[in-house]
Amino acid sequence: MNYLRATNLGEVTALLEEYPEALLLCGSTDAALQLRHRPETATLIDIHALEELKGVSAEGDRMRIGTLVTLNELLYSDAVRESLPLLAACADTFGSHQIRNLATVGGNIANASPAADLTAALVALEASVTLASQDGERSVPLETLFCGYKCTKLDHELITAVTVPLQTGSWYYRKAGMRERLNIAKVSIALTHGSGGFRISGASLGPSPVRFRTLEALLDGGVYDDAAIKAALENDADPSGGYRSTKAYRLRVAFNMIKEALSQPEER
Amino acid sequence: MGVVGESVVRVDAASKADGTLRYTDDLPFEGLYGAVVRSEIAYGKIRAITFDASFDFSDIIIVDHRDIEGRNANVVLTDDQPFLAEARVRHIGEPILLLAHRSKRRLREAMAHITIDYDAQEPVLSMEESLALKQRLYGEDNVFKAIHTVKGSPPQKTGLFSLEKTYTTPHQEQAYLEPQSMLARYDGGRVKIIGSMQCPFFVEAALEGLAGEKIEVEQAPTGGGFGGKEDYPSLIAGYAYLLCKKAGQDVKIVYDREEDIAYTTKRHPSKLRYRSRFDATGKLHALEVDVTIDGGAYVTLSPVVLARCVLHAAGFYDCGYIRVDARAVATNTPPNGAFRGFGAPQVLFGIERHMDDIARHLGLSPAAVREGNLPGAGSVGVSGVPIAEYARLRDLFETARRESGFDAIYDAPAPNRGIGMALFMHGAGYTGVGESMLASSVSIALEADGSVEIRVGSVEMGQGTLTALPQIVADALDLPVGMVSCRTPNTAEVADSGPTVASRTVMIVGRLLAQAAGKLKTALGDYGTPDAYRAAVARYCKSGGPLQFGASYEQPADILWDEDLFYGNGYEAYGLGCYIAEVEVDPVDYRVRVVRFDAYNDVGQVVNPVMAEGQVEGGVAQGIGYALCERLVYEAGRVYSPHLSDYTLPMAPDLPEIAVRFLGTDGPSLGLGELPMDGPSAAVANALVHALGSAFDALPITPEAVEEACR
Repeated sequence: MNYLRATNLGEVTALLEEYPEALLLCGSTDAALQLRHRPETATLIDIHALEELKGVSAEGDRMRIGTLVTLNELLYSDAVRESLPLLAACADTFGSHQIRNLATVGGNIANASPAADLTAALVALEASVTLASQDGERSVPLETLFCGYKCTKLDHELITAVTVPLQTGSWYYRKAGMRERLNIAKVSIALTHGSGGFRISGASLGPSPVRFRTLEALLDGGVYDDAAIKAALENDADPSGGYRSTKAYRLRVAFNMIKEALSQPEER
Repeated sequence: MGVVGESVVRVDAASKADGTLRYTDDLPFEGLYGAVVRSEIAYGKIRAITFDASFDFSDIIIVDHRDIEGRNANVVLTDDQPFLAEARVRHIGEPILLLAHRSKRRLREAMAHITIDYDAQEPVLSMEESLALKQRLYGEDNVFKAIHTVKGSPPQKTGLFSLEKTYTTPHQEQAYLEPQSMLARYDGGRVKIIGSMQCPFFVEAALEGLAGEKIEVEQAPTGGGFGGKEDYPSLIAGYAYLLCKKAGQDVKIVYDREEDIAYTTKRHPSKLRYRSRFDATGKLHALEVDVTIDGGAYVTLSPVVLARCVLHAAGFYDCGYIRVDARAVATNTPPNGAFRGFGAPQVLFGIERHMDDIARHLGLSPAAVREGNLPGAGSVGVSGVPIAEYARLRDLFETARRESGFDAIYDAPAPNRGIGMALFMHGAGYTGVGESMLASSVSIALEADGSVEIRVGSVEMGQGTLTALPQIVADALDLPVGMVSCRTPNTAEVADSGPTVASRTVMIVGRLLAQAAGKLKTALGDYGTPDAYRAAVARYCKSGGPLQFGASYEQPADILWDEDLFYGNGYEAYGLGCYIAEVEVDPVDYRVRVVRFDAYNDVGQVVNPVMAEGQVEGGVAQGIGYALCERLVYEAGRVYSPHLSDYTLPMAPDLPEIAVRFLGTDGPSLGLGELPMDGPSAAVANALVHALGSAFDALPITPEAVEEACR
């Protein structure tokens, strides 16, 4: 296997041009599993050394989070805790302390797991991602990056940063797993409610995270009726039923979480 | 000096904490790694094995069944299990070939270039399919062992209520920290086996059949066993031996977690049908229990697990008529084996759920129903002899009920909360005539400096043997505990004190050691002070008397057992437990949290209170995992997800503070190892039934199961 260690962004994009099937090593917490499922992977490009991909910075009413920012950096960043409390709450349920020390924002997104904790939260927060290639940079809404189960539209590109509008209004985040810690999400719900209305997404509720737009519209219209919420969820979410949980469980718990979110006081 | 009853610090604590202890995989090693080529099908014949001609196998050591010089049979209770498959395979993962090479990578590549063609047959994948004889796997009826026992005669009384319920329990993975590991050392034609194991003499016996000669077997520090290293190490030791012998070099086999979860032994799944008849107060008049356990593809230990199922199936309740029909059946799944509790956790889940179901049926309190069925002086257990422990059991039950405030919480439960109880026993030592057949012996050796070395095959696997046994010997000799140590269990150097299983180490081996120490003390004569002891030792050594003192097991005269009738004292003594759990159900995600756990135990004299509390806490954690989250899914005879990411074990934040109490500490020391695994699942399930008013009869009770019940 070919292991390449890049030292700057130009090198990475050049290598990606040359080895489009390469696996980028970011936090590497899932790399061993990835390689098991993709034994044909011949090239690893390690991007840990790229300083330009690190750090969290406020840019006006948005926060720019570098792709190599770790989950613990998110969790312990005062700026994130103050301005993106939903993201901090999500990071707090993520893996173990040791995993959070390594796992990165960019890795969690690019891995494109339907159970990815951070991705669902970022979709609800209307995050966008900055992508870099030999052709330059472009920015797209995170939600549009995915093309299904473990599939992204990255094209000779790497994610350099995530840009997230600062949170205003109320929010809700909850993850259900088998135990208190070290869970792979059976279901999670991320919800914000501000002047723009409801923004809702969740993990393990479809092949990739999407905004629950039927549900958002329903709630924006002031309809909080149980049957209508259930119907909207069934329209928006498409959970799989498999080894880790059942489809019925996922939909029911998502519904319960939405109800719990709506019952909470607005001042959060 | 009285060091028994003191919380002496574990002698292996520091080396385990600082990482200096050397497990099998840490031992200095210059040799080959071993790997196992396994069956990809659950049932069928091997048609051909093809070695890809484009791959160079010349430097790979390859072993198949033809390399076996002795017998190709891992003899446990029967000889049906081969070390390596010959013509037929009976489960996915069954070993067919063994490979060894210096490079693990080359081993992996070699494995990818071996093709095995099969004539696959429809496998038998469930107990139901087995009993329906979908395929004939074993004997005429696919039954490895059946036990039928009847006590008393059916009640003539009319107007009794009756209830019939079926409860099921699943596979459970031992999840020891250290996976199965074995090292075969080669020294000038001789092979020595060193590895992770509970029973060095079992391994020695298995290898003697395989090799046709005695092979020296030594236990390495063992990172947990829980029964998973009782019978399985004989197989992996056989693989290491065969490769080592052929290669003429050291060979090491260390399973990775995936291989370990997928192919090594598990707790037997069970299907338990309880039919009871009782009066309006809940007093039992008849109990008929039908037990089926899934043995997997080979007999291994299933008959003995089944015997323990039978002897624990009715608990210790007073009932005039008890009938148990039990069977262990063959399926095309990897063989199941020993796991902490050894059949008791399954049936105790059954009887303790059933006692609550009787209470529910009548609208009575489960504590009141249990109280009304407590045994008395004249009560007789399932195997026909009086329940000698009746007074201690009542005391334990009453104390637990009173101190936990069970009744008040049961009568006025908080929303989404419930309380549950399990009252149970665990037979300590081997079942039936097992201990007299083992005829265990122990040895202690006096050193010139006055220190004493224990030489037994009983092993440390995390439970504290290296500390508890020296405490017992030091106590008997009035010596400081630091003057007594244990020799590494090596079959060439220690006495065969029997396997480290069945909660027997302290009770049986400890008692024999105390006897041996008594002989040494008699030989030394009177000594009162440390100085006098040293003088006595010097005098004795000069006298030229023997420096080793032993003792052997003799069946107590009042113990009787008839294996054919299944009549008599199934065990020399029983540990007792009354466990109380309070659970809370999350109304959003249906997760069940055990918010309080009280474990009342009676195991007689506690040798080391802190270690004993640790045993109970660990057993309760394992029992809570069994009850709520540990789930192994098989698909077509294969473990679907052999990873700890999906086989969810509870962790510290998932557990409540576990209040551990010991009663009856004035009696002789009984077994404690397995007892705490027996009660938690029923206590938790009963609490959940109380919280939600729904039946929870199948383990594990996952959030998905709770969600279904809440629909």
